[in-house]
Amino acid sequence: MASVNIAALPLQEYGADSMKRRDFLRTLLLGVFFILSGKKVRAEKKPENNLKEAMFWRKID
Amino acid sequence: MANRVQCELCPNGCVLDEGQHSRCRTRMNKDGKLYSLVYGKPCAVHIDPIEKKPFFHFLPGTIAFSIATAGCVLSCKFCQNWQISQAKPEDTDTYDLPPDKVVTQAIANKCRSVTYTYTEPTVFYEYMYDTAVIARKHGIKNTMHSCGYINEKPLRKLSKYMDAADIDLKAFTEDFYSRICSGSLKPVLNSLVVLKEEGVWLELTTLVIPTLNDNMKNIKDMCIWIQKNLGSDTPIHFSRFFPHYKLSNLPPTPLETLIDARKSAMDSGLRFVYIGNIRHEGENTFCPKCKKLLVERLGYVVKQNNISNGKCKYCSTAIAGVWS
Repeated sequence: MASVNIAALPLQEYGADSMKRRDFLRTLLLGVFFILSGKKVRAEKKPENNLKEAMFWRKID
Repeated sequence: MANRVQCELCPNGCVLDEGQHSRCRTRMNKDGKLYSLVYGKPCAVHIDPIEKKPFFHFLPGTIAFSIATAGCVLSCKFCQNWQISQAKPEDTDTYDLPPDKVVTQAIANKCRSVTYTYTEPTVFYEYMYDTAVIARKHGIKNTMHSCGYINEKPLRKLSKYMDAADIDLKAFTEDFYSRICSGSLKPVLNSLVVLKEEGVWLELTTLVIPTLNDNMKNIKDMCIWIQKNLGSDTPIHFSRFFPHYKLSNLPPTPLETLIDARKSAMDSGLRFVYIGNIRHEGENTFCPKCKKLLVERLGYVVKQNNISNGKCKYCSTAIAGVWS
């Protein structure tokens, strides 16, 4: 296998300038897609909505 | 006050005006009717080894579909699950898991049993009962880990569908139950007798807490009561306490105390006495006749099982329990 001299390779600098308009739009579209398609799940905070009549009780009046 | 009701599920016997919640936090008087607030809404759902409950004589090496809702009928100062047992249902994150889905999930995950555990299953009695009926129809066993603080009538009704129960016998004095748990001992002892009468496989667990319930005379008295009322074949687990919740000032239980308790229980005639929450040979099952090792455990893992068709492989002595 041929060896690669890493030191000789040009350095790639990453930053805001390196993102092309196409990359930016793709990221933006993906973000919008996930936000719109995601389903928000919330913990149930009102147990009174899930009532089931209890067993073993009596009226005392 | 009109529309007052009384809950008859546990010995607390809460009398509730309209809008009030029970002491266990899971029942409410609404418009003069008592409702469960936790039906089909577990806050804990796990698949555990059956040994974790702990059951050592009930389908060893199998897994149990385990559920709990918020709430408890007692308020033990050493509670290991106080974050959910002492919480209101609305303060816990819950799953939407009605009884039929519990059974479906248990089957899908190859669980041999459904266990009602972690908090106190009595507080989700309706949910547990309906699930147990469906599970029985599908050949899935039902087990519970409970404090046994429940009235006789509901317990007998539940027992028709309950295959095994691990009951916390927390101590053998009314003083302990009153001061540490805000409950009482007598109803628990009655529950143990009822479960035995109903043919539910029974195991007991005692968390041995330094200075509070580690008196060897009390432990001895407890074991004699067990031997007389429940039989010599009733397994008992002495578990090691670790500083927790409102008892974080106490030290962990010394191993010697657990060994002494085990010896005391065996001297009282109990055949299957275990030590839990610590690695020790007291985790293993030995044949009461030939004394050979039958079930070797390491924590919740069964390393070897020499019980065949409910009998000791070496001397054919029948070993009490549910083995298949």
